[in-house]
Amino acid sequence: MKKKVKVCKFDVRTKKHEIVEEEMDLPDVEIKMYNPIEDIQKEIKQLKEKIDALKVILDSLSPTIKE
Amino acid sequence: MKSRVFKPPQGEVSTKDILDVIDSQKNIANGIAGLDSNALVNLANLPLIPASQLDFSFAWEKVAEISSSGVASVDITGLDGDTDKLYLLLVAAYNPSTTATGGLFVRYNGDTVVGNYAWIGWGNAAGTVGTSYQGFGSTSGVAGTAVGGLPGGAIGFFVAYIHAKGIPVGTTLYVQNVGMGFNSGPVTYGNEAGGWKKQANITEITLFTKAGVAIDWLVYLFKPKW
Repeated sequence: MKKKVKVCKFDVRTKKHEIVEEEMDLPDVEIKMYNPIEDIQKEIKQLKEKIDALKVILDSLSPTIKE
Repeated sequence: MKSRVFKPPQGEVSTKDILDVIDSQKNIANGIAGLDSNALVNLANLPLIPASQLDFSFAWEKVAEISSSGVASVDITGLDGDTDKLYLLLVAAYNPSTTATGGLFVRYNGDTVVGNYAWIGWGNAAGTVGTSYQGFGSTSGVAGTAVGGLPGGAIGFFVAYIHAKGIPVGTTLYVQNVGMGFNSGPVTYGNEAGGWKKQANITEITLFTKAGVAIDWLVYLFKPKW
C-alpha cells in the first residue's frame, strides 16, 4: 500500500536533515500478537460447551438407560 | 618464570627488605627482557589515554543524531555498512496520536520486497504475553524488520544492534538486527530480532511506523571505532 507520509531524511556525510513528503510502501496487513493463553481459554470454552450439550442429551435419556 | 610477591616493609626497614625490593625489580626486568622485540615495540606504542577520554565515544562514533516531530519515517543515508560492520541504533519516540503505530520497523536500502525480511517480536503487552513473526519468503507482511511498537499516546525507548556486514549462509548474505524495547500507555515490553536478505552494501537505514502514523523521534546511530 503506497501512502504519502512525511519523512525526515538525514545524510550522515553532510549531517544535515530535511523533511520531505514521500510516497512510502507501507504494509496493509494487521500484525497480531499470538497469545497461547487466549487459545487455551478458547479451547476450554469449547470443551465446556460440548460437556453442556452432552449433559442435555444425558438428561433426556430415560432413568433406566441412565443407570 | 616464577615471580615473587613483594610485600611492602612495615616499620623499620631492614637490609633484607631492601634486597627484596631489588629482587622484585629484577623480576620485572627479566619479564620485559623475556618479551620479543615486536612486543616491546607494541608496548612502547601503546597510547596513553587520559581517564577523561575513557568513555563511550572512545569506542563508538556517533554518525547520526536526529530529532524530528510529526513524521512517519526517519531515513538515514550515506552509510557504508560493509566498512562500518556494526551499528547501534537508539530510538526514543513519542506517539501523540490515539492511533497505535502498529510497530516501528527498519528497512534497508529502500528494499520493499517483503520476502527479503524476517522478524520475530515477543513481549508483554499490557499484561498479556504474546509473540508475532514473519518468515523469509513471505508474500504478505512488512518490508522491514521489527524494532518496537508504540500504542497511541505512548512514549518509548528502543535499542537495536545491526550487524551490517552480514553473515553468509551458502551463497546468501544476511544482515541481522536484535533489540529490545519498552513503551508506556499501555505498558509494553518487548524483544525483537530480525534479518534482511542482503541485496547490497547497506547505504540507507529507514525507520518507519507500520501504519504511517506521524510521531516524534529522537534517533541516534553509532558505529564502532574499533
